[in-house]
Amino acid sequence: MSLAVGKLEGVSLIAQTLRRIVFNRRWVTLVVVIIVWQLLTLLIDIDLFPTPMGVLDSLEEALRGGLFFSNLGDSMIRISLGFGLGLLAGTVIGLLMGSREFWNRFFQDFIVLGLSLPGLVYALLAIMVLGIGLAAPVTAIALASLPFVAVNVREGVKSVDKQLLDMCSVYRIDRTRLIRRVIVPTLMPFIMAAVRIGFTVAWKVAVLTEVFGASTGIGYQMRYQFGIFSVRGIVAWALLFGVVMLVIEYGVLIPLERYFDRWRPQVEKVI
Amino acid sequence: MESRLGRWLAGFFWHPRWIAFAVLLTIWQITAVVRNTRVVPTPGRVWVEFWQILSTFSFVDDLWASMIRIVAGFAAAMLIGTIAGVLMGSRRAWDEFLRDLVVFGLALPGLVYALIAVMLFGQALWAPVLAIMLTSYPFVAVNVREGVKALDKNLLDMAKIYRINRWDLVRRIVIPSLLPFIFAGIRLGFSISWKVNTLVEVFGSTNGVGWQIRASFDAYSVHGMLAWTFIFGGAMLFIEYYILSPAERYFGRWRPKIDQVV
Repeated sequence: MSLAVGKLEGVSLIAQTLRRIVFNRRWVTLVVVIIVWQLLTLLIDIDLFPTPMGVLDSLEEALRGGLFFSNLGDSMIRISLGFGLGLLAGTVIGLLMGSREFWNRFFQDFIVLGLSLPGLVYALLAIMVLGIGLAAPVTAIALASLPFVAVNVREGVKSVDKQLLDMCSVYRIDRTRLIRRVIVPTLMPFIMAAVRIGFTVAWKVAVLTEVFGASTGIGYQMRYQFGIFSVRGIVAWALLFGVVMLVIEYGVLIPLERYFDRWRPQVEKVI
Repeated sequence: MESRLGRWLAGFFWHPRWIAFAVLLTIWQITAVVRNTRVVPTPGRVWVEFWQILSTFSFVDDLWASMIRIVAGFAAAMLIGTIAGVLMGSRRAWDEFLRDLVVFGLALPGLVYALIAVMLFGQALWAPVLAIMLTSYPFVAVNVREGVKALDKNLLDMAKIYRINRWDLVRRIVIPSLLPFIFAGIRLGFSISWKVNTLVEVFGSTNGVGWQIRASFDAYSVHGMLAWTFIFGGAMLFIEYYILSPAERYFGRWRPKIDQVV
């Protein structure tokens, strides 16, 4: 299927998307939230309670001079390295766990433990043992995301259709082809699910590690705002970071997941 | 061995997990000795610390303080989440209106809520309650919404035809249908609650498990932190695996099996 779009179709595509964004009922939610927020600031008597205008000021401060983007870059480097490691290790472990029952039982308790430990513990332990620097966040992120990846990959391996495998051995299909055409497509949706869940965990742990033991990055900036008692500062940085994460999740990860899912019958998902 | 207990014992002890455990302990011990044991405590040290904390019973104070905050915050989250979920499940307008709020709630890390709550409310109970409520309610809401959408329309129509009164309708049809979803929400929400509460305590409290963990961090006491994590984590996991999950399965036993990953 060619992705080339003619000029005329391109224009109407843009018009359609614009129309869907502007004439969307979801703006109602945003407007209501801002109105309620403004009313709350009048009612609540706490000094530090942020006003919409105050948050806008903080947003402007954060974006000025590329401050946000340079810190975002630092955070993203840590997240990429850490999550890449976690994805690799998690996939290997998941493959092992899915194929041999021995490995499944071997890793089981650690996976369960790893899934339940709060990101805070990973972050603090990594900083205490590895100090300040790149090693701490990368290790914490890798260890925290590993269990999620492993669990999903394991499910993927277990779901490989045995009948297809038997058919391949009957028709004497060579191993490379077997892997490329049967195993990899079966695994890809699960790996994508692992990437999506693991990525969420990864950036949360990344920010936590930065809060306690880094001098750059989103987490550090939040710590700084906390230190100067600026609630609107934290809200502003959180909003900016949240938007970036949502863009990555909805703009990159979910479309990717749907692409790899397309051979599968539709499944209802809750969360 | 023929008895069930015998078989369970055999299954528990003749298990690769002990090999994994042994490997872990070995790596840990070697790392501790090779690196400075000030930085990496030996497993033995952590074990000793663990029992020291448990033996003085003073840990109960901190555990209790944390539990109060968790329960209060979680109750608030359940309330808001259930209301939101019911609204979202029954009327499309509410679904569209609230959906972005729920998605946004799911996206923001608990850290942000914790920091803001501590700055606004200091050490008052409102800090953890608010932070927990805002972080957990999306999980409850999403599950309750699925539960409402899954209500069997045939049963509801039948109830209308037989003119069953509202109270009976709610008691015998709506609530049993919703319970498994509510419990799924409880399980997820509780899991989030205690993690966020620990964060709130780390930043702004003078008692509780989170504060103990913070104190250990400030004192570079890896063994202290590990010990507290195991004690608290152990208690929470116990609740999750031996109380909440069985409850969820019990109330869900009329349902056809659904595969869940995480």
